[in-house]
Amino acid sequence: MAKRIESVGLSAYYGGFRAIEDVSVVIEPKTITALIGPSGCGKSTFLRTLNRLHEVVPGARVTGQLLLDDEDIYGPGVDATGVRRTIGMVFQRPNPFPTMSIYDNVAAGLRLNGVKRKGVLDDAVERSLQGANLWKEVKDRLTKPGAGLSGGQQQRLCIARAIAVEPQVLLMDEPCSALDPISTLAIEDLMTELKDRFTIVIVTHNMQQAARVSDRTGFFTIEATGEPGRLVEIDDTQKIFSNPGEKRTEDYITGRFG
Amino acid sequence: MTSSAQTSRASRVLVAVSCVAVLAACGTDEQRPFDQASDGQPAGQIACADGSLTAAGSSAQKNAMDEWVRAYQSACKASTINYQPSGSGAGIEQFVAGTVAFAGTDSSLKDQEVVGATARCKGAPALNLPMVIGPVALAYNLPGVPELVLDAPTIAKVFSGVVTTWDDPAIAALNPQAKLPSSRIQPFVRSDESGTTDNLQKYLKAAAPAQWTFGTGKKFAGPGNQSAPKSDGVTQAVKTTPNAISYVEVSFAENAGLDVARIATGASAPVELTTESAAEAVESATVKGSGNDLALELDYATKDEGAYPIVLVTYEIACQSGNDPASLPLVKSFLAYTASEAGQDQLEGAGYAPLPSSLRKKVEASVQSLS
Amino acid sequence: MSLGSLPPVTTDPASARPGAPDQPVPSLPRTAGRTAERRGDRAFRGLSLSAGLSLLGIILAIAVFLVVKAIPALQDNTASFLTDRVWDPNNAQPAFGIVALAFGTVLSSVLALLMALPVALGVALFISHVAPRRLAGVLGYVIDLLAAVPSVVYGLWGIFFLNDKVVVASAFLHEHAGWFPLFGGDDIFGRSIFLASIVLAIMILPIIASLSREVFLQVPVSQQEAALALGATRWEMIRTAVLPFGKPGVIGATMLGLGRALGETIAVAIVLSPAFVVSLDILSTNSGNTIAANVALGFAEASSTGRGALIASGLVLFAITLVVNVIARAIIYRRREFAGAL
Repeated sequence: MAKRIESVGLSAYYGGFRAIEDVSVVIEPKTITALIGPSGCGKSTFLRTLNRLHEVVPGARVTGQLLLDDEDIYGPGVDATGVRRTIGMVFQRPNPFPTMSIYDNVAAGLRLNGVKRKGVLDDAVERSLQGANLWKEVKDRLTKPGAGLSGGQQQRLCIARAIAVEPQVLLMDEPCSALDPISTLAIEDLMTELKDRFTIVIVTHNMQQAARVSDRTGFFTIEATGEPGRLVEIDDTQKIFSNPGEKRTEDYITGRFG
Repeated sequence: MTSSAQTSRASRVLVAVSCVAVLAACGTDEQRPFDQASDGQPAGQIACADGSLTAAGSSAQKNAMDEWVRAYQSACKASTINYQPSGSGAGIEQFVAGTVAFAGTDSSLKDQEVVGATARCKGAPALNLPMVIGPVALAYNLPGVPELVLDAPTIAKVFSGVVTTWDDPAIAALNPQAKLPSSRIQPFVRSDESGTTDNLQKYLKAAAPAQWTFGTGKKFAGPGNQSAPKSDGVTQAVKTTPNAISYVEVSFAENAGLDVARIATGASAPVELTTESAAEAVESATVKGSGNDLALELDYATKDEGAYPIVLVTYEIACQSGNDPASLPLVKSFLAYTASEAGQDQLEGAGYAPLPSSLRKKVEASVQSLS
Repeated sequence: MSLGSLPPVTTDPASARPGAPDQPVPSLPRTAGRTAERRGDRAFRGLSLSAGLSLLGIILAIAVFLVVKAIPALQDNTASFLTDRVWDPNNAQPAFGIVALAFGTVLSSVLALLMALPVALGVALFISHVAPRRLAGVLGYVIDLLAAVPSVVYGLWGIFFLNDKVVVASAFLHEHAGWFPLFGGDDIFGRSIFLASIVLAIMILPIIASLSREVFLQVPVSQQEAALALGATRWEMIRTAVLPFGKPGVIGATMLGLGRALGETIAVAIVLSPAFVVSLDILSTNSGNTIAANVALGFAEASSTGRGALIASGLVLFAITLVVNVIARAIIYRRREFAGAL
């Protein structure tokens, strides 16, 4: 079910401002790809183009191609909501629906897909929470509000919510930046497990994290404020962190940047 | 459309609507023929007194009092007169409590009110001084029927849902010449409590006792009518509703250009509502008070020639003696003015009828006797 | 090159927490400035406490005033205040009961709410989540303007403009849906409870819409993106993230609107042809009356007993409003764990 992603000459704009320019990259199925780079380099914007969430900001648009197993998700007649159902996303700050219980949070995506049968929902909720390594902690309080969990638990709840609809790709936008190190480790372990089922793309500021979890790492940067972000290089993680092809990458990784 | 154009249109609509509100609230202030004359002319005839006084009571007198106070104060710069139209009952209560110099009321003091009033006047009688005559018009909206005659039994039937169409035999018999439509009558009454309502019901009870069995009072008692608030409200309702009829102070009917029915009283001809015919009805009333008390017994069932029967006589209540010496000169001066010929003439354009001169002279004498 | 040269994994919790306990802490300042701050705090607490207490005091004073003024009239009443429908308190034998008035008050307000709420929510959502920003700004301004229009204007507009249209619509409803309990009755000449409810609905719509819009604008972007990322359409996103989050606020706005409808005086007095009946025939003329409108129409010419009766009716209105607010609080409290604003 995991799918391959390929972007071809992808640029993204906010109104007249070009946030990223000409990104071409191939992301293989069942791998974890980390996107690193300084703040404002466009890595989050690129991530949001992958599930067409970029365009919900008024005035935002995308040019170029984005192929999901050879199908252009920006092609004519492609429904953005359909794309987002195939490509799940986890955000920087845990954002469970505060008005919903733990159960309802996980079931939210399925219900949007029209699943109503309680048995099906029950199974999916348990499976997803187990998949997110959260089942044991919350199985006795599924009807309690999701917002009552700790930060790390909330983020795993969000992952459970995202994987409940069985997406093919999972996007994670700095998923651990608001978490303490113990929770961070739990999420990282989870990612490694999820890799068997999903294609994962993660944006992170934490280079150790990128090094620990990812198979491939891409480095984004900008020349100057107001310039668009560009993908400098993408390669095996091991290579990027040991022997990057570009001087700019090496400068950033070794902390000589900004 | 730009936002500023939209805004200015919205505000123009608002202004227009609030103008309507103001007009409706003060409809009677317009079109008064005496308006121009009122400021300067009567000044020479007023014997001024200084100071200030507060009075309260009948809201049916409000327009008359406003007119008088304006004229009096413009002639007598050192005086301040404040009339609060708080309602007859409240006015009498305030008079009994001694917080007002005199009270205005739609009906002469009742027995239970006399006790308190006498106490207020330190044992002297409180006088009922008839001051304002307000004829009540039966105004209707019936296109093609500019002339209409009604009598008390028919009016009673219309306002109790017995006669429901304009071509009912009861109406047709009174109007053999008119082309009466078969449409349903839309009778309107006052939804608020009002001396005008009380007056109409008293008339119906006296002149059509067989048909009007619902009693009297300030709240309309008959069944099945539509209602609207205040004189403006019913006037507007009649004006905008074809086949409507209501009762309203004559000035409202005139200002709205509504047709007014003549009343068949049993006199040789149906009586048209004019200041003269209204005064004539008061002329034929008997004074039931003794001495300087001029409480009237109005004969609503009068058959006198040219006497219009549905008139509201409102009174000022003042102490024969025992008045507060500080305000007495001003009370006497002001009431002397209101009872004077000039004062009475002042009201004609405002929808009131002047007191008949014999009664007016008695009121003047009573006012002079206050001490 | 081996992974061994990679930066070490950080698991030390302290590094993630600036200001950890092992850092040297400067000794606390103990200067005059601190006492001044205390004094300011104390003054602020005193002020806010007295403001809160004075509000309670005012409410209590109103309640006591109403009770004291109502008691003599209630003692003179020859009818049963709580069960009779007559209203004749100025009679020598005063007789008045609250049933018809209370019924009409609640009926007209509930109808107004049923009409206003869906439209108000639609308007609020349109402004907050659908309309282009410039149009939303203009609309928001217009809504706020409408909320500030005095009720007498709505009343006059209702009687001058709306009444005729409502008569036509009422006749239509009666003819085609007369079987529906609310659309029975004859005498469809306007000035009905239906008209009053429509006017009330139009009056409270901007209040509910304006407050709801504010609440909907408070919904965090992260919540909305969470729904969108699950594949929600715009309407599904609103249903999943915006409406539930805004619910307590919308309930509050609704109660404010309902409170205004319950207490609305002059607009109802202008448009309604009042009758002291308990009737569901809302299309008919003389289909009911409301407490507030009855006070407006009766107060000027009332006797002292009549005024006492009107004040007693005001007391009932006070109680109805209180009950409505308690119910609203209870609804919000019951779901407090799930309140969005946590």
